[in-house]
Amino acid sequence: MEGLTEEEMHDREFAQLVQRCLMVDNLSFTITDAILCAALGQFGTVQSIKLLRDPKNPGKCIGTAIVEMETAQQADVIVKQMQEFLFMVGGMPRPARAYKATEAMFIDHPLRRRKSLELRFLTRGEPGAREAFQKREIAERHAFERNYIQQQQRIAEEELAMKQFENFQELHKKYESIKDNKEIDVLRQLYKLPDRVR
Amino acid sequence: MVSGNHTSGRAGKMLAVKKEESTGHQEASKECAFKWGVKVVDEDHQYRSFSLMGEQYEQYDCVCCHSEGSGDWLGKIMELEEANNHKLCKLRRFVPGSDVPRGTAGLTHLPQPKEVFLAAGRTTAVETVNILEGIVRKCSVLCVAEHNFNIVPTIEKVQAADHFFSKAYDGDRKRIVSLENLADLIGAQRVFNKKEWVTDEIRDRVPTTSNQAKGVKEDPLASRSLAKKPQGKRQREGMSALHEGDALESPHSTSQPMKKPKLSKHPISVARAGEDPAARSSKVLVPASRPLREEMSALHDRTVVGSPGSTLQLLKKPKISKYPNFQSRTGDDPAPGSSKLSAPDSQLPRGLVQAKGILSESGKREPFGGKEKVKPVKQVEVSEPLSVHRKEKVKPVKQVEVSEPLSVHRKEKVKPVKQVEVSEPSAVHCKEKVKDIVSIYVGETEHMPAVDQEKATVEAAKECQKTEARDTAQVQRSVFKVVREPWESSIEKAVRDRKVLHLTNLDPQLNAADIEDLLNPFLRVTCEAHILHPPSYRHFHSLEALVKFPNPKIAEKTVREMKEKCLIMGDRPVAVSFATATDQFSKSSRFPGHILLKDYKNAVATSHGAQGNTIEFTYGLQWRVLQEQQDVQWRKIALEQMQEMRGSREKK
Repeated sequence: MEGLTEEEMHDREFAQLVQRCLMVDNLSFTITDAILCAALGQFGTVQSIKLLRDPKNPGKCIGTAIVEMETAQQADVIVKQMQEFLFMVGGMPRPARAYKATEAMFIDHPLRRRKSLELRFLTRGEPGAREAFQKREIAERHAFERNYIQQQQRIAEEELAMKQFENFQELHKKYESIKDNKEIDVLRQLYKLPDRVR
Repeated sequence: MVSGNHTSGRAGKMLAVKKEESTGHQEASKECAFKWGVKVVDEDHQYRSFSLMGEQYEQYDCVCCHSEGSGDWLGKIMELEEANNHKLCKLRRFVPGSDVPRGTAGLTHLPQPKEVFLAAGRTTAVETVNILEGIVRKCSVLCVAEHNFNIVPTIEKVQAADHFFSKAYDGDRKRIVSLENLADLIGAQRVFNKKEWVTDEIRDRVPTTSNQAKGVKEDPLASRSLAKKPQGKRQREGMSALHEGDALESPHSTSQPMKKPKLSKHPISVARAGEDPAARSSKVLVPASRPLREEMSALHDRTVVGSPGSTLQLLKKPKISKYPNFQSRTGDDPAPGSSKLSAPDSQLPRGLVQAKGILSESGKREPFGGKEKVKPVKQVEVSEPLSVHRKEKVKPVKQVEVSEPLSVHRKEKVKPVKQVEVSEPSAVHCKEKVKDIVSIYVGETEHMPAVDQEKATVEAAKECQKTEARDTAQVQRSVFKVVREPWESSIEKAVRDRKVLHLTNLDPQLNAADIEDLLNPFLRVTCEAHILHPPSYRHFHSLEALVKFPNPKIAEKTVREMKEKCLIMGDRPVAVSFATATDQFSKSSRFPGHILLKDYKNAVATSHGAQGNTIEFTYGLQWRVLQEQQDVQWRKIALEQMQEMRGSREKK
């Protein structure tokens, strides 16, 4: 690549990398590289996987991963498939989701262009200090709101999971009760039902 | 306390026996009937043995029982007696390894699938009185603990047995205890192996006339009704993969001579250079018991394809690089489903070479620091932690993940790589790299030996003077070589010690290394930063980070200063607070949304798309609706917050 500086080369490579990547979330916390690789390997060649881990809770995957495919087309295919269909990875019935990766998702990636900012302390009474302190209060409130929403979403997820589990238990019990019931054959013949219970 | 209930199978058989008696089939009833054996001396109603359904049971035998409340469980016969026409037995329970909570005190290793713990304690239901009809069958549970009164079985015996145990579980104190105290309390014969279990063949079932009359086929291993595994509850959500891993591992590990369980800190299957495996002691036959973390990391290497709890296919960890675009070296095993993991290094970006899981900026493997004479550390492939050879003086280096950002800067040609040391920092860093690794943590040199501390502080002082004279962040990065505890092992304690600050409203384009580069010279401390993942990666306008300081005083001082004044990073005021433990370390690892199915035969294990005619599809749709709602919520909140911030800026 002639005429390009080092930085520009890095930028181009990074952009190409981002195009080949996709982000998958709604994964189980116990998911591993191999499981994900096997799941997405059905669509193409998986080059690499990065499971995102929680720095607050080390060792725990947050249920999100960045996956690099061989080509950008393969990444597009996976994203489309997982948006159109309910794809179960590592368990059911909560489906995983995938979407195209963006540069912003690559936090801490070495190829990402580094940023240097000005750092300063602003004391009260200095020009612009009042607005700065106000914005800081707003930022604190925003963080609290995000945290609250996260908690509420978690509660909703657990409620749905519990509801589905209870419903499933009931259905399973019913199934067990009729599975070995010989009288079902009589009913099946009477109502001309398909042979599905077995 | 009588706790036994009639089992459908056994009780049904007993009822059938009674009916036969009543109809006059004396021969069959005599054979199937219960019969007491030898009486205890000086005791009228206590016995040492009995026979049931042609099988001989003796005191201190291990049996499998069934009760409606608790299902199948293992017990050891302590006493046999007849009271009020009831045939009773006192059984001491075995606690399955899967029932012992992982963080239990005294638990030095992940329990193997066949491992159980003898119940100990006083108040909990350690010994229960049951009716004999609750006994399903005999089983073989061998004690492998070393004790004067215990005959330790051979490897083959342990492999052939149903279960084994070497410790006891005290349910009152919730800890693992040794068998010595228990043996002193209740008697060695009640705890340890019988001689005939270990030295002779287990008594074969003699073909009885009743069996011949019934035409029952004699299984050549009929005595190995002991070999049948009890149908216990083994699988748990998330743990089944690990047990499967153990199950497939244990035959391999038990085939080699084993180490004593007391030395469980050292992985048994570590190949020590020059060591003859045959020369190892074969005395103690506990299968490989490794420390919990190593077991977990090794098992993560042997990961599972399919959903937890499903029919599992164990795979060795594919050498998938932890970060996209970092391809492994030629010759490495490709990951399943991927074929291109062998790109030569020249294809990678300049200087970026994946060195066995660690990224080093130099293509020539030059030591970091450039001019300083430093021996390059041999990179060890951590995906096989058991292959660490201690004689080679190799540091096991943990694979770098998001929580350990690499301090790679594109502008520099040679970069120091932040290496996270896993074990024994004092032994490794100080002995091997005293000259170049200098701790300049203010007031934190306690993990270095005293002699080196003086050197370190003197050199640290010199370094500090040098750094103050330099302004560029690049140079400061190369000088700041610090000995740090790994983030994973230290974060929880650091939060409790109030050394960790929570920063919010950071620029979303910042890396953790950027934050460190900005804060370190500005605050004149050495801190470690980690970016927190935003709740939604698609809709976020600011970042949050955890910053760990060397000691609580500095953190306190920083917080006070940041609150009194306002720290502006770029054009954003940064909000700061102490990281709290309550909202940080949620121990629950349960993922809502995955239903664990008991009947694995009918479950679909591998990743798949849900079909429309299944209940899975109906449930999946509900989840999809919820996911979309959450997405909308995050989009909206991000937009509103951005506008609010901008609005306050515009008012300015």
